[in-house]
Amino acid sequence: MLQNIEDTPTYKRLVQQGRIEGAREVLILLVQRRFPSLVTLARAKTANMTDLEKLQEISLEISTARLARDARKYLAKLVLEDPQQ
Amino acid sequence: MTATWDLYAKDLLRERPQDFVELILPGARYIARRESQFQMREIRLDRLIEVEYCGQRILINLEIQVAKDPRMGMRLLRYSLAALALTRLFAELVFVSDIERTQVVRRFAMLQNIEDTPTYKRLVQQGRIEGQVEGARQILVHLVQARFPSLRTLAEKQFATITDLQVLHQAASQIGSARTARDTRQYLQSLQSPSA
Repeated sequence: MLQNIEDTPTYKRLVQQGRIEGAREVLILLVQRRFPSLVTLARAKTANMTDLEKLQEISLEISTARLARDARKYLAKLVLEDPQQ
Repeated sequence: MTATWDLYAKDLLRERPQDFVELILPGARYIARRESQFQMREIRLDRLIEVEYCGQRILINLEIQVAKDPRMGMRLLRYSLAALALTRLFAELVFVSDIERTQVVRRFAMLQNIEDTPTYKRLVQQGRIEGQVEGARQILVHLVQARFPSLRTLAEKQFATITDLQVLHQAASQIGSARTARDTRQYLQSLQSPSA
């Protein structure tokens, strides 16, 4: 409890929240770069996502998708896969 | 020099505490030194003085500095938060009935305006940015590793030194659209740490 402030649960929660935001921002940038027409969809689908691994997985899918159609399909599928969506 | 200054200043504080109290909070009355009751492994207070002011007993934390320390606000906030956390813990140990516990929660809820202070806000911002940088780095390394496994170590090394979110965002665009390992390697090698 009396450790450095960086070790407190509150601070750690903030950092974790930041990690999710940072990962999501990178994902949106990837979508913007590769398939700009899907940015709104990507934002909507990931807005409440808090799973860092899932965000990494989506980023990889987006960066390897060949066509916008494939990326759209993948993003659309997230509704079924992620109960938070 | 620093140690001598520290020593003399503490001596003065010990000899004439009321004068210092008057200087900091005119009208307050010195009661006692309390720092010995608040020394922990990570926190060493220079002086913690209990005073009476306008009918209330309050604590004043005095820290002696030879030069201006830009992190002083953060240090004092850390001490205050530790004191608050400790007080709350003790209160929860002493007051065990539901009614008393409710009162403890209510009293501490009144202290929530600490969240409105610039220092606290800076702290929140610092935590979030630290996390954003980590999150961005993590995802970038993951991307490189998944697409070009041989470049993982290089990516980890290069991204570890970057603390600028904008640079990491640019990297996301570059790596996301890179077609070959050679392009990615070239790009990673072109990244330089701020100190380089």
